[in-house]
Amino acid sequence: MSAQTDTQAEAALACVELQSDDLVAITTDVWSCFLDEEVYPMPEDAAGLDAESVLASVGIVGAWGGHVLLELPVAGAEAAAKRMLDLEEVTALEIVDALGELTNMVGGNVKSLLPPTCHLGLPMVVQGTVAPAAGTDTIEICRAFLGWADTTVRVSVWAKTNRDRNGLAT
Amino acid sequence: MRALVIDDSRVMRTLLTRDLKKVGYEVLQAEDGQKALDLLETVGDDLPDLCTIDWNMPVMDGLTFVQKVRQRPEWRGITLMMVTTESEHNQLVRALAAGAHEYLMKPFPPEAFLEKLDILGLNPSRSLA
Amino acid sequence: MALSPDLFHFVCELVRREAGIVLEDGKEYLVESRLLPLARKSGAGTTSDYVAALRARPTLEGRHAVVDALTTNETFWFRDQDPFEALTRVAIPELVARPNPRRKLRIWSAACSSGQEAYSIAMLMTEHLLPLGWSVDIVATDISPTMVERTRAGTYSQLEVGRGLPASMLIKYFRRTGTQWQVNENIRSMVTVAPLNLTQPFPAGPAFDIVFMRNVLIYFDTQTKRQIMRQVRQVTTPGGFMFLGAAETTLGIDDTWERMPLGRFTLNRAPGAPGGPRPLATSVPTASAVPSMTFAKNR
Repeated sequence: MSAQTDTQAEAALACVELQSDDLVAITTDVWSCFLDEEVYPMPEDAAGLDAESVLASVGIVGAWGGHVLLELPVAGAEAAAKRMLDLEEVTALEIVDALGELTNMVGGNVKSLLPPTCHLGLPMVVQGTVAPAAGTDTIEICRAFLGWADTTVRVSVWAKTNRDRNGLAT
Repeated sequence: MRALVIDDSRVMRTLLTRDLKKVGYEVLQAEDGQKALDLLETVGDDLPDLCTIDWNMPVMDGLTFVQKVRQRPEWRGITLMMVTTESEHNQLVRALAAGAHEYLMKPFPPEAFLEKLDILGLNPSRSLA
Repeated sequence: MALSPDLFHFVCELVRREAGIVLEDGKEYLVESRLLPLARKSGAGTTSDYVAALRARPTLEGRHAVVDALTTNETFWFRDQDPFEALTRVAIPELVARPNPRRKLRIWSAACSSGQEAYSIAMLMTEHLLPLGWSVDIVATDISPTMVERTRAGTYSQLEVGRGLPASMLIKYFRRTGTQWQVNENIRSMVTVAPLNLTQPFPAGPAFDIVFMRNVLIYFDTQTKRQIMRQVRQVTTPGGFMFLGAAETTLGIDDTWERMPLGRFTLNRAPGAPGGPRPLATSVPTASAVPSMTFAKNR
Protein backbone atom coordinates (compact mmCIF):
# COMPACT_ATOMS: atom_id res chain seq x y z
CA MET A 1 0.00 0.00 0.00
CA SER A 2 1.41 3.40 -0.95
CA ALA A 3 1.94 6.11 1.61
CA GLN A 4 -0.90 8.11 0.09
CA THR A 5 -3.42 5.29 0.42
CA ASP A 6 -2.24 4.68 3.99
CA THR A 7 -3.10 8.29 4.78
CA GLN A 8 -6.45 7.98 3.06
CA ALA A 9 -7.22 4.83 5.01
CA GLU A 10 -6.32 6.53 8.28
CA ALA A 11 -8.48 9.51 7.45
CA ALA A 12 -11.42 7.31 6.51
CA LEU A 13 -11.02 5.22 9.64
CA ALA A 14 -10.68 8.27 11.87
CA CYS A 15 -14.15 9.39 10.91
CA VAL A 16 -15.72 6.16 11.99
CA GLU A 17 -15.09 4.33 15.25
CA LEU A 18 -14.60 0.90 13.81
CA GLN A 19 -12.05 -1.56 15.13
CA SER A 20 -10.95 -4.96 13.94
CA ASP A 21 -12.28 -6.26 17.29
CA ASP A 22 -15.75 -5.05 16.28
CA LEU A 23 -15.58 -7.14 13.11
CA VAL A 24 -14.45 -10.13 15.15
CA ALA A 25 -17.30 -9.67 17.65
CA ILE A 26 -19.93 -9.28 14.95
CA THR A 27 -18.70 -12.27 12.94
CA THR A 28 -18.47 -14.33 16.13
CA ASP A 29 -22.14 -13.66 16.87
CA VAL A 30 -23.29 -14.42 13.31
CA TRP A 31 -21.25 -17.63 13.12
CA SER A 32 -22.31 -18.89 16.54
CA CYS A 33 -26.01 -18.22 15.94
CA PHE A 34 -26.31 -19.58 12.41
CA LEU A 35 -23.40 -21.96 11.93
CA ASP A 36 -22.98 -23.04 15.55
CA GLU A 37 -19.24 -22.52 15.12
CA GLU A 38 -16.63 -20.58 17.01
CA VAL A 39 -14.36 -18.25 15.10
CA TYR A 40 -10.89 -17.24 16.21
CA PRO A 41 -8.62 -14.47 14.96
CA MET A 42 -5.68 -15.70 12.92
CA PRO A 43 -2.67 -14.07 11.30
CA GLU A 44 -3.58 -13.13 7.77
CA ASP A 45 -2.69 -15.78 5.25
CA ALA A 46 -3.33 -14.50 1.77
CA ALA A 47 -2.37 -17.89 0.36
CA GLY A 48 -5.65 -19.26 1.70
CA LEU A 49 -7.69 -17.01 -0.57
CA ASP A 50 -6.88 -17.48 -4.23
CA ALA A 51 -8.60 -17.53 -7.60
CA GLU A 52 -11.26 -19.86 -6.30
CA SER A 53 -12.78 -17.78 -3.54
CA VAL A 54 -16.30 -16.71 -2.85
CA LEU A 55 -16.69 -12.97 -2.34
CA ALA A 56 -19.87 -11.56 -0.86
CA SER A 57 -20.43 -7.86 -0.35
CA VAL A 58 -23.17 -5.57 0.81
CA GLY A 59 -23.15 -1.84 0.11
CA ILE A 60 -23.80 0.94 2.57
CA VAL A 61 -25.00 4.36 1.45
CA GLY A 62 -26.01 7.52 3.25
CA ALA A 63 -23.97 9.59 5.67
CA TRP A 64 -21.18 7.11 5.05
CA GLY A 65 -20.50 5.21 1.83
CA GLY A 66 -18.72 1.95 1.20
CA HIS A 67 -19.25 -1.76 1.54
CA VAL A 68 -18.64 -4.76 3.76
CA LEU A 69 -16.95 -7.78 2.21
CA LEU A 70 -16.74 -11.42 3.24
CA GLU A 71 -14.22 -13.68 1.51
CA LEU A 72 -14.17 -17.47 1.92
CA PRO A 73 -12.42 -20.29 0.09
CA VAL A 74 -14.94 -22.13 -2.10
CA ALA A 75 -14.89 -25.14 0.22
CA GLY A 76 -15.50 -22.82 3.16
CA ALA A 77 -18.47 -21.16 1.48
CA GLU A 78 -19.94 -24.58 0.75
CA ALA A 79 -19.37 -25.65 4.36
CA ALA A 80 -21.06 -22.49 5.61
CA ALA A 81 -24.13 -23.08 3.45
CA LYS A 82 -24.37 -26.72 4.53
CA ARG A 83 -24.11 -25.71 8.18
CA MET A 84 -26.59 -22.90 7.91
CA LEU A 85 -29.19 -25.01 6.13
CA ASP A 86 -28.31 -28.23 7.96
CA LEU A 87 -27.98 -30.11 4.64
CA GLU A 88 -25.54 -32.76 3.42
CA GLU A 89 -25.43 -31.25 -0.07
CA VAL A 90 -26.08 -27.71 -1.26
CA THR A 91 -26.69 -26.18 -4.66
CA ALA A 92 -24.81 -23.17 -6.01
CA LEU A 93 -27.95 -21.09 -5.47
CA GLU A 94 -28.10 -22.14 -1.83
CA ILE A 95 -24.45 -21.17 -1.37
CA VAL A 96 -25.10 -17.74 -2.89
CA ASP A 97 -28.14 -17.23 -0.70
CA ALA A 98 -26.44 -18.39 2.50
CA LEU A 99 -23.37 -16.22 1.93
CA GLY A 100 -25.61 -13.32 0.98
CA GLU A 101 -27.53 -13.55 4.23
CA LEU A 102 -24.39 -14.00 6.36
CA THR A 103 -22.94 -10.89 4.71
CA ASN A 104 -26.23 -9.05 5.18
CA MET A 105 -26.07 -9.78 8.91
CA VAL A 106 -22.41 -8.77 9.27
CA GLY A 107 -23.00 -5.66 7.15
CA GLY A 108 -26.12 -4.64 9.05
CA ASN A 109 -24.29 -4.78 12.35
CA VAL A 110 -21.32 -2.87 10.94
CA LYS A 111 -23.77 -0.23 9.70
CA SER A 112 -25.06 0.32 13.22
CA LEU A 113 -21.54 1.42 14.21
CA LEU A 114 -21.30 3.98 11.41
CA PRO A 115 -22.48 7.59 11.51
CA PRO A 116 -26.26 7.86 11.18
CA THR A 117 -28.14 7.68 8.86
CA CYS A 118 -27.03 4.91 6.55
CA HIS A 119 -28.88 2.33 4.52
CA LEU A 120 -27.92 -1.22 3.68
CA GLY A 121 -28.05 -2.41 0.07
CA LEU A 122 -28.75 -5.92 -1.13
CA PRO A 123 -25.93 -8.47 -0.94
CA MET A 124 -24.01 -9.60 -4.03
CA VAL A 125 -22.11 -12.86 -4.19
CA VAL A 126 -19.56 -13.88 -6.80
CA GLN A 127 -16.86 -16.49 -7.19
CA GLY A 128 -13.51 -15.24 -8.36
CA THR A 129 -10.81 -12.81 -7.38
CA VAL A 130 -12.37 -9.39 -7.75
CA ALA A 131 -14.93 -8.29 -5.17
CA PRO A 132 -18.28 -7.19 -6.62
CA ALA A 133 -18.00 -3.61 -5.42
CA ALA A 134 -14.26 -3.15 -5.63
CA GLY A 135 -12.82 -0.32 -7.61
CA THR A 136 -10.07 2.24 -7.48
CA ASP A 137 -12.44 4.52 -5.61
CA THR A 138 -12.65 2.33 -2.50
CA ILE A 139 -10.11 1.79 0.22
CA GLU A 140 -9.97 -0.87 2.90
CA ILE A 141 -10.28 0.72 6.33
CA CYS A 142 -10.75 -2.28 8.61
CA ARG A 143 -10.27 -6.02 8.42
CA ALA A 144 -10.30 -9.25 10.40
CA PHE A 145 -9.02 -12.67 9.39
CA LEU A 146 -10.72 -15.50 11.17
CA GLY A 147 -10.44 -19.26 11.32
CA TRP A 148 -13.43 -21.51 11.84
CA ALA A 149 -13.86 -25.27 11.49
CA ASP A 150 -11.08 -26.18 9.03
CA THR A 151 -11.37 -23.02 6.99
CA THR A 152 -11.23 -19.24 7.11
CA VAL A 153 -13.20 -16.08 6.53
CA ARG A 154 -11.85 -12.62 5.84
CA VAL A 155 -14.09 -9.73 6.81
CA SER A 156 -13.28 -6.22 5.59
CA VAL A 157 -14.86 -2.80 5.45
CA TRP A 158 -14.19 -0.52 2.45
CA ALA A 159 -14.83 3.21 2.24
CA LYS A 160 -15.57 5.16 -0.91
CA THR A 161 -12.88 7.71 -1.52
CA ASN A 162 -14.37 9.68 -4.39
CA ARG A 163 -16.31 11.72 -1.89
CA ASP A 164 -14.20 13.77 0.49
CA ARG A 165 -11.59 11.02 0.84
CA ASN A 166 -13.21 9.87 4.08
CA GLY A 167 -16.15 7.94 2.68
CA LEU A 168 -18.35 10.71 4.03
CA ALA A 169 -20.69 12.69 1.84
CA THR A 170 -19.49 16.22 1.19
CA MET B 1 -51.74 -21.46 14.18
CA ARG B 2 -50.59 -19.86 10.96
CA ALA B 3 -47.60 -17.69 10.23
CA LEU B 4 -46.40 -15.63 7.28
CA VAL B 5 -42.62 -15.31 6.92
CA ILE B 6 -41.55 -12.28 4.91
CA ASP B 7 -37.88 -11.98 3.88
CA ASP B 8 -36.10 -11.56 0.56
CA SER B 9 -33.51 -14.14 1.66
CA ARG B 10 -34.57 -17.67 0.80
CA VAL B 11 -32.32 -19.17 3.47
CA MET B 12 -33.83 -16.95 6.17
CA ARG B 13 -37.34 -17.91 5.05
CA THR B 14 -36.30 -21.57 5.21
CA LEU B 15 -34.85 -21.29 8.70
CA LEU B 16 -37.75 -19.34 10.19
CA THR B 17 -40.23 -21.70 8.56
CA ARG B 18 -38.45 -24.66 10.16
CA ASP B 19 -38.44 -23.01 13.59
CA LEU B 20 -42.16 -22.24 13.33
CA LYS B 21 -43.14 -25.66 12.04
CA LYS B 22 -41.27 -27.28 14.94
CA VAL B 23 -43.64 -25.61 17.39
CA GLY B 24 -46.75 -26.41 15.39
CA TYR B 25 -47.30 -23.60 12.90
CA GLU B 26 -48.51 -23.81 9.31
CA VAL B 27 -46.24 -21.42 7.42
CA LEU B 28 -46.66 -19.26 4.33
CA GLN B 29 -43.81 -17.27 2.76
CA ALA B 30 -43.43 -14.03 0.85
CA GLU B 31 -40.27 -12.43 -0.51
CA ASP B 32 -41.21 -8.79 -0.13
CA GLY B 33 -43.81 -6.56 1.47
CA GLN B 34 -45.94 -6.23 -1.64
CA LYS B 35 -46.19 -9.98 -2.19
CA ALA B 36 -47.05 -10.34 1.49
CA LEU B 37 -49.89 -7.80 1.20
CA ASP B 38 -51.17 -9.55 -1.93
CA LEU B 39 -51.18 -12.83 -0.02
CA LEU B 40 -53.13 -11.35 2.90
CA GLU B 41 -55.73 -10.06 0.44
CA THR B 42 -56.24 -13.53 -1.00
CA VAL B 43 -56.51 -15.63 2.17
CA GLY B 44 -59.79 -14.06 3.27
CA ASP B 45 -60.66 -15.13 6.79
CA ASP B 46 -57.71 -17.50 7.01
CA LEU B 47 -55.41 -14.76 8.20
CA PRO B 48 -52.09 -15.66 9.79
CA ASP B 49 -51.77 -15.19 13.53
CA LEU B 50 -48.20 -13.98 13.12
CA CYS B 51 -46.03 -12.28 10.50
CA THR B 52 -42.24 -12.23 10.76
CA ILE B 53 -40.95 -9.31 8.75
CA ASP B 54 -37.51 -8.42 7.42
CA TRP B 55 -36.87 -4.70 7.04
CA ASN B 56 -34.72 -4.32 3.93
CA MET B 57 -36.51 -5.88 0.96
CA PRO B 58 -37.00 -4.80 -2.63
CA VAL B 59 -40.35 -3.45 -3.92
CA MET B 60 -41.81 -2.80 -0.43
CA ASP B 61 -39.76 -2.79 2.76
CA GLY B 62 -40.82 -4.19 6.12
CA LEU B 63 -41.64 -0.88 7.78
CA THR B 64 -44.01 0.08 4.98
CA PHE B 65 -45.65 -3.36 5.19
CA VAL B 66 -46.26 -2.87 8.92
CA GLN B 67 -47.78 0.57 8.34
CA LYS B 68 -50.11 -0.75 5.65
CA VAL B 69 -51.25 -3.73 7.74
CA ARG B 70 -52.02 -1.52 10.72
CA GLN B 71 -54.23 0.69 8.55
CA ARG B 72 -56.66 -2.20 7.99
CA PRO B 73 -59.10 -2.82 10.89
CA GLU B 74 -59.84 -6.33 9.64
CA TRP B 75 -56.13 -7.19 10.02
CA ARG B 76 -55.80 -5.93 13.59
CA GLY B 77 -55.59 -9.42 14.98
CA ILE B 78 -52.33 -10.20 13.17
CA THR B 79 -49.23 -10.02 15.37
CA LEU B 80 -46.28 -8.35 13.64
CA MET B 81 -42.68 -9.18 14.57
CA MET B 82 -39.72 -7.55 12.85
CA VAL B 83 -36.77 -9.89 12.25
CA THR B 84 -33.98 -7.73 10.92
CA THR B 85 -30.37 -6.58 11.01
CA GLU B 86 -31.52 -3.01 11.66
CA SER B 87 -30.35 -2.51 15.24
CA GLU B 88 -30.11 1.22 15.86
CA HIS B 89 -32.22 2.35 18.80
CA ASN B 90 -34.16 4.70 16.56
CA GLN B 91 -35.02 1.92 14.11
CA LEU B 92 -36.62 -0.08 16.92
CA VAL B 93 -38.54 3.02 17.99
CA ARG B 94 -39.77 3.61 14.43
CA ALA B 95 -40.88 0.01 13.98
CA LEU B 96 -42.80 -0.17 17.25
CA ALA B 97 -44.32 3.28 16.61
CA ALA B 98 -45.50 2.04 13.20
CA GLY B 99 -47.30 -0.78 14.98
CA ALA B 100 -44.91 -3.73 15.12
CA HIS B 101 -45.50 -5.75 18.28
CA GLU B 102 -42.04 -7.27 18.68
CA TYR B 103 -38.55 -6.88 17.27
CA LEU B 104 -35.83 -9.52 16.95
CA MET B 105 -32.37 -8.42 15.87
CA LYS B 106 -30.23 -10.57 13.56
CA PRO B 107 -28.19 -12.62 14.27
CA PHE B 108 -30.15 -14.60 16.82
CA PRO B 109 -30.02 -18.19 18.11
CA PRO B 110 -33.19 -20.29 17.58
CA GLU B 111 -33.98 -20.11 21.31
CA ALA B 112 -34.26 -16.32 21.15
CA PHE B 113 -36.92 -16.60 18.43
CA LEU B 114 -38.94 -18.97 20.61
CA GLU B 115 -38.57 -16.64 23.58
CA LYS B 116 -40.09 -13.85 21.48
CA LEU B 117 -43.02 -16.17 20.67
CA ASP B 118 -43.39 -16.78 24.41
CA ILE B 119 -43.44 -13.03 25.05
CA LEU B 120 -46.21 -12.70 22.48
CA GLY B 121 -48.14 -15.64 23.91
CA LEU B 122 -47.85 -17.28 20.48
CA ASN B 123 -45.84 -20.41 21.24
CA PRO B 124 -48.30 -23.29 20.76
CA SER B 125 -45.82 -25.83 22.13
CA ARG B 126 -45.64 -24.14 25.53
CA SER B 127 -47.84 -26.39 27.66
CA LEU B 128 -50.40 -24.74 29.89
CA ALA B 129 -50.59 -26.29 33.37
CA MET C 1 -8.79 -36.07 27.73
CA ALA C 2 -10.60 -36.75 31.01
CA LEU C 3 -9.66 -35.07 34.26
CA SER C 4 -7.90 -37.46 36.63
CA PRO C 5 -9.59 -38.13 39.99
CA ASP C 6 -7.00 -36.22 41.99
CA LEU C 7 -7.17 -33.15 39.70
CA PHE C 8 -10.96 -33.29 39.88
CA HIS C 9 -10.81 -33.43 43.67
CA PHE C 10 -8.42 -30.50 43.69
CA VAL C 11 -11.06 -28.46 41.84
CA CYS C 12 -13.83 -29.73 44.16
CA GLU C 13 -11.85 -28.75 47.22
CA LEU C 14 -11.01 -25.35 45.71
CA VAL C 15 -14.62 -24.37 45.07
CA ARG C 16 -15.78 -25.84 48.37
CA ARG C 17 -13.25 -23.74 50.24
CA GLU C 18 -13.71 -20.54 48.24
CA ALA C 19 -17.45 -20.62 47.62
CA GLY C 20 -19.02 -23.35 49.74
CA ILE C 21 -20.04 -25.19 46.62
CA VAL C 22 -20.27 -28.97 46.72
CA LEU C 23 -19.47 -30.84 43.51
CA GLU C 24 -20.25 -34.51 43.70
CA ASP C 25 -18.50 -37.32 41.84
CA GLY C 26 -20.16 -37.57 38.46
CA LYS C 27 -19.75 -33.84 37.82
CA GLU C 28 -16.39 -34.32 36.09
CA TYR C 29 -17.93 -33.53 32.69
CA LEU C 30 -19.25 -30.23 34.02
CA VAL C 31 -15.85 -29.24 35.34
CA GLU C 32 -14.13 -30.23 32.09
CA SER C 33 -16.50 -28.33 29.82
CA ARG C 34 -16.67 -25.23 32.01
CA LEU C 35 -12.89 -25.02 32.42
CA LEU C 36 -12.00 -25.77 28.80
CA PRO C 37 -12.37 -22.14 27.61
CA LEU C 38 -10.05 -21.07 30.44
CA ALA C 39 -7.55 -23.76 29.47
CA ARG C 40 -7.58 -22.63 25.83
CA LYS C 41 -7.14 -18.97 26.77
CA SER C 42 -4.18 -19.76 28.99
CA GLY C 43 -2.55 -21.81 26.23
CA ALA C 44 -2.64 -24.93 28.38
CA GLY C 45 -4.50 -26.92 25.72
CA THR C 46 -6.30 -29.41 27.92
CA THR C 47 -8.28 -28.91 31.11
CA SER C 48 -5.94 -31.37 32.86
CA ASP C 49 -2.88 -29.29 32.02
CA TYR C 50 -4.65 -26.15 33.13
CA VAL C 51 -5.74 -27.58 36.48
CA ALA C 52 -2.33 -29.14 37.08
CA ALA C 53 -0.68 -25.77 36.43
CA LEU C 54 -3.09 -24.04 38.80
CA ARG C 55 -2.43 -26.62 41.48
CA ALA C 56 1.32 -26.05 41.13
CA ARG C 57 0.81 -22.27 41.28
CA PRO C 58 -2.55 -21.42 42.87
CA THR C 59 -2.75 -17.70 42.08
CA LEU C 60 -5.67 -15.67 43.41
CA GLU C 61 -6.67 -14.77 39.87
CA GLY C 62 -6.57 -18.39 38.75
CA ARG C 63 -8.68 -19.55 41.69
CA HIS C 64 -11.27 -16.81 41.07
CA ALA C 65 -11.41 -17.71 37.39
CA VAL C 66 -12.19 -21.33 38.23
CA VAL C 67 -14.90 -20.37 40.73
CA ASP C 68 -16.41 -17.95 38.18
CA ALA C 69 -16.42 -20.57 35.44
CA LEU C 70 -18.12 -23.15 37.62
CA THR C 71 -20.75 -20.86 39.08
CA THR C 72 -21.74 -18.63 36.18
CA ASN C 73 -25.28 -19.22 35.04
CA GLU C 74 -26.68 -18.02 31.78
CA THR C 75 -29.28 -15.55 32.81
CA PHE C 76 -32.00 -14.12 30.66
CA TRP C 77 -34.46 -11.34 31.12
CA PHE C 78 -37.64 -12.35 32.93
CA ARG C 79 -36.31 -15.90 33.16
CA ASP C 80 -39.13 -18.47 33.23
CA GLN C 81 -41.66 -15.59 33.12
CA ASP C 82 -44.09 -17.06 35.70
CA PRO C 83 -42.15 -15.73 38.74
CA PHE C 84 -42.39 -12.22 37.33
CA GLU C 85 -46.10 -12.65 36.76
CA ALA C 86 -46.37 -13.73 40.41
CA LEU C 87 -44.30 -10.72 41.43
CA THR C 88 -46.57 -8.16 39.79
CA ARG C 89 -49.93 -9.95 40.15
CA VAL C 90 -49.63 -11.39 43.68
CA ALA C 91 -46.63 -10.28 45.73
CA ILE C 92 -46.72 -6.54 45.00
CA PRO C 93 -50.49 -6.09 45.43
CA GLU C 94 -50.33 -7.93 48.75
CA LEU C 95 -47.35 -5.91 50.00
CA VAL C 96 -48.81 -2.51 49.10
CA ALA C 97 -52.05 -3.45 50.91
CA ARG C 98 -50.14 -3.79 54.17
CA PRO C 99 -49.38 -0.90 56.54
CA ASN C 100 -46.10 0.68 55.43
CA PRO C 101 -45.64 4.32 56.41
CA ARG C 102 -42.58 4.86 54.23
CA ARG C 103 -44.31 3.25 51.21
CA LYS C 104 -41.02 1.62 50.31
CA LEU C 105 -40.18 -1.98 49.44
CA ARG C 106 -36.80 -3.71 49.63
CA ILE C 107 -35.98 -6.48 47.17
CA TRP C 108 -32.91 -8.71 47.11
CA SER C 109 -31.61 -10.47 44.01
CA ALA C 110 -29.26 -13.02 45.55
CA ALA C 111 -26.75 -14.68 43.17
CA CYS C 112 -27.53 -11.98 40.62
CA SER C 113 -24.91 -13.14 38.07
CA SER C 114 -24.66 -10.52 35.30
CA GLY C 115 -27.68 -8.60 36.58
CA GLN C 116 -30.53 -9.43 34.21
CA GLU C 117 -32.76 -10.56 37.08
CA ALA C 118 -32.17 -7.44 39.17
CA TYR C 119 -32.82 -5.12 36.23
CA SER C 120 -35.88 -7.13 35.15
CA ILE C 121 -37.23 -6.51 38.64
CA ALA C 122 -36.30 -2.82 38.44
CA MET C 123 -38.13 -2.38 35.12
CA LEU C 124 -41.26 -4.07 36.51
CA MET C 125 -41.16 -1.91 39.63
CA THR C 126 -40.93 1.18 37.43
CA GLU C 127 -44.08 0.07 35.60
CA HIS C 128 -46.12 -1.41 38.47
CA LEU C 129 -44.92 -0.01 41.82
CA LEU C 130 -43.65 3.50 41.25
CA PRO C 131 -46.92 4.70 39.67
CA LEU C 132 -48.61 3.81 42.98
CA GLY C 133 -46.43 6.40 44.69
CA TRP C 134 -44.21 3.77 46.28
CA SER C 135 -40.45 3.47 46.01
CA VAL C 136 -38.09 0.50 45.96
CA ASP C 137 -34.51 -0.36 46.90
CA ILE C 138 -33.10 -3.33 45.03
CA VAL C 139 -29.97 -5.04 46.29
CA ALA C 140 -28.12 -7.38 43.96
CA THR C 141 -25.36 -9.63 45.25
CA ASP C 142 -23.07 -12.29 43.84
CA ILE C 143 -20.06 -14.21 45.11
CA SER C 144 -18.07 -13.28 42.02
CA PRO C 145 -16.39 -9.84 41.87
CA THR C 146 -16.53 -10.11 38.07
CA MET C 147 -20.30 -10.52 38.15
CA VAL C 148 -20.64 -7.65 40.63
CA GLU C 149 -18.80 -5.40 38.16
CA ARG C 150 -20.87 -6.65 35.23
CA THR C 151 -24.10 -5.99 37.11
CA ARG C 152 -22.95 -2.51 38.13
CA ALA C 153 -22.09 -1.70 34.52
CA GLY C 154 -25.54 -2.82 33.35
CA THR C 155 -24.16 -3.26 29.83
CA TYR C 156 -25.16 -6.14 27.58
CA SER C 157 -24.40 -7.40 24.11
CA GLN C 158 -26.96 -7.40 21.31
CA LEU C 159 -27.38 -11.16 21.72
CA GLU C 160 -27.96 -10.80 25.46
CA VAL C 161 -30.68 -8.17 25.09
CA GLY C 162 -32.43 -10.42 22.58
CA ARG C 163 -33.08 -13.09 25.20
CA GLY C 164 -36.52 -12.77 26.77
CA LEU C 165 -36.67 -8.97 26.83
CA PRO C 166 -39.73 -7.35 25.23
CA ALA C 167 -38.70 -4.89 22.54
CA SER C 168 -40.86 -2.17 24.10
CA MET C 169 -38.80 -2.43 27.28
CA LEU C 170 -35.54 -2.47 25.35
CA ILE C 171 -36.30 0.87 23.70
CA LYS C 172 -37.71 2.39 26.87
CA TYR C 173 -35.03 1.39 29.36
CA PHE C 174 -31.83 0.94 27.35
CA ARG C 175 -29.60 2.96 25.08
CA ARG C 176 -26.88 1.79 22.72
CA THR C 177 -23.22 2.38 23.48
CA GLY C 178 -21.05 1.12 20.61
CA THR C 179 -21.97 -2.51 19.96
CA GLN C 180 -23.55 -2.83 23.42
CA TRP C 181 -26.81 -1.83 25.08
CA GLN C 182 -26.75 -0.22 28.51
CA VAL C 183 -29.53 0.01 31.09
CA ASN C 184 -30.55 3.64 31.58
CA GLU C 185 -29.20 5.48 34.60
CA ASN C 186 -32.62 5.87 36.27
CA ILE C 187 -33.01 2.06 36.33
CA ARG C 188 -29.41 1.37 37.33
CA SER C 189 -29.73 3.80 40.22
CA MET C 190 -32.50 1.61 41.71
CA VAL C 191 -30.01 -1.25 42.18
CA THR C 192 -27.15 -1.43 44.68
CA VAL C 193 -24.66 -4.17 43.87
CA ALA C 194 -22.30 -5.84 46.33
CA PRO C 195 -20.32 -9.06 46.67
CA LEU C 196 -21.77 -11.67 49.00
CA ASN C 197 -21.00 -15.30 49.77
CA LEU C 198 -24.29 -16.95 50.74
CA THR C 199 -22.53 -19.58 52.87
CA GLN C 200 -21.09 -16.87 55.14
CA PRO C 201 -23.10 -14.86 57.70
CA PHE C 202 -25.11 -12.17 55.94
CA PRO C 203 -24.14 -8.56 56.69
CA ALA C 204 -26.53 -6.63 58.94
CA GLY C 205 -29.10 -4.42 57.24
CA PRO C 206 -32.80 -3.66 56.91
CA ALA C 207 -35.06 -6.59 56.14
CA PHE C 208 -36.27 -7.47 52.66
CA ASP C 209 -39.88 -7.72 51.54
CA ILE C 210 -38.92 -9.92 48.59
CA VAL C 211 -35.94 -12.22 48.04
CA PHE C 212 -35.09 -13.75 44.68
CA MET C 213 -32.75 -16.69 45.17
CA ARG C 214 -33.08 -18.62 41.96
CA ASN C 215 -30.96 -21.46 40.64
CA VAL C 216 -28.17 -21.10 43.17
CA LEU C 217 -29.15 -23.54 45.94
CA ILE C 218 -28.46 -26.44 43.56
CA TYR C 219 -24.75 -25.91 44.21
CA PHE C 220 -25.04 -26.69 47.90
CA ASP C 221 -25.62 -29.76 50.05
CA THR C 222 -28.81 -30.08 52.08
CA GLN C 223 -27.29 -28.81 55.31
CA THR C 224 -25.95 -25.66 53.62
CA LYS C 225 -29.29 -25.14 51.82
CA ARG C 226 -31.02 -25.28 55.18
CA GLN C 227 -28.60 -22.82 56.72
CA ILE C 228 -28.96 -20.38 53.82
CA MET C 229 -32.75 -20.57 53.80
CA ARG C 230 -32.84 -19.99 57.55
CA GLN C 231 -30.65 -16.92 57.16
CA VAL C 232 -32.86 -15.66 54.33
CA ARG C 233 -35.93 -16.02 56.51
CA GLN C 234 -34.15 -14.01 59.23
CA VAL C 235 -33.60 -11.10 56.83
CA THR C 236 -37.11 -11.28 55.35
CA THR C 237 -39.96 -9.20 56.76
CA PRO C 238 -42.87 -11.14 58.29
CA GLY C 239 -44.98 -12.40 55.41
CA GLY C 240 -42.24 -11.47 52.94
CA PHE C 241 -41.82 -13.48 49.77
CA MET C 242 -39.03 -15.78 48.55
CA PHE C 243 -38.72 -16.74 44.88
CA LEU C 244 -36.79 -19.92 44.02
CA GLY C 245 -35.82 -21.41 40.67
CA ALA C 246 -38.18 -23.45 38.51
CA ALA C 247 -37.07 -26.86 39.82
CA GLU C 248 -36.45 -25.76 43.41
CA THR C 249 -38.56 -26.08 46.54
CA THR C 250 -38.49 -25.41 50.28
CA LEU C 251 -39.91 -28.89 50.91
CA GLY C 252 -37.57 -30.99 52.98
CA ILE C 253 -35.33 -28.02 53.63
CA ASP C 254 -37.33 -25.43 55.54
CA ASP C 255 -41.02 -26.09 56.15
CA THR C 256 -41.66 -22.80 57.98
CA TRP C 257 -42.30 -21.10 54.62
CA GLU C 258 -45.92 -21.04 53.48
CA ARG C 259 -46.06 -22.48 49.96
CA MET C 260 -48.50 -20.79 47.54
CA PRO C 261 -48.92 -22.71 44.27
CA LEU C 262 -49.66 -20.48 41.27
CA GLY C 263 -49.97 -22.79 38.29
CA ARG C 264 -46.47 -23.93 37.41
CA PHE C 265 -44.79 -21.63 39.91
CA THR C 266 -44.80 -21.76 43.72
CA LEU C 267 -44.46 -18.59 45.72
CA ASN C 268 -42.99 -18.91 49.23
CA ARG C 269 -44.21 -16.61 51.99
CA ALA C 270 -42.40 -16.17 55.30
CA PRO C 271 -44.44 -16.75 58.47
CA GLY C 272 -45.96 -13.82 60.31
CA ALA C 273 -47.90 -12.22 57.50
CA PRO C 274 -50.20 -9.49 58.83
CA GLY C 275 -53.67 -11.02 58.89
CA GLY C 276 -52.26 -14.57 59.09
CA PRO C 277 -51.90 -17.16 56.36
CA ARG C 278 -54.81 -17.26 53.96
CA PRO C 279 -55.49 -18.81 50.55
CA LEU C 280 -54.69 -16.75 47.50
CA ALA C 281 -57.42 -14.40 46.32
CA THR C 282 -55.91 -14.11 42.85
CA SER C 283 -55.43 -17.02 40.50
CA VAL C 284 -52.63 -16.38 38.09
CA PRO C 285 -52.98 -17.55 34.50
CA THR C 286 -50.19 -19.81 33.36
CA ALA C 287 -49.68 -18.20 29.98
CA SER C 288 -46.68 -15.97 29.52
CA ALA C 289 -46.42 -13.15 32.01
CA VAL C 290 -45.10 -10.56 29.72
CA PRO C 291 -47.92 -10.16 27.17
CA SER C 292 -50.29 -9.15 29.93
CA MET C 293 -47.82 -6.55 31.07
CA THR C 294 -46.58 -5.08 27.85
CA PHE C 295 -47.95 -6.67 24.71
CA ALA C 296 -51.60 -5.93 25.38
CA LYS C 297 -50.84 -2.21 25.47
CA ASN C 298 -49.39 -2.30 21.96
CA ARG C 299 -52.53 -3.52 20.30
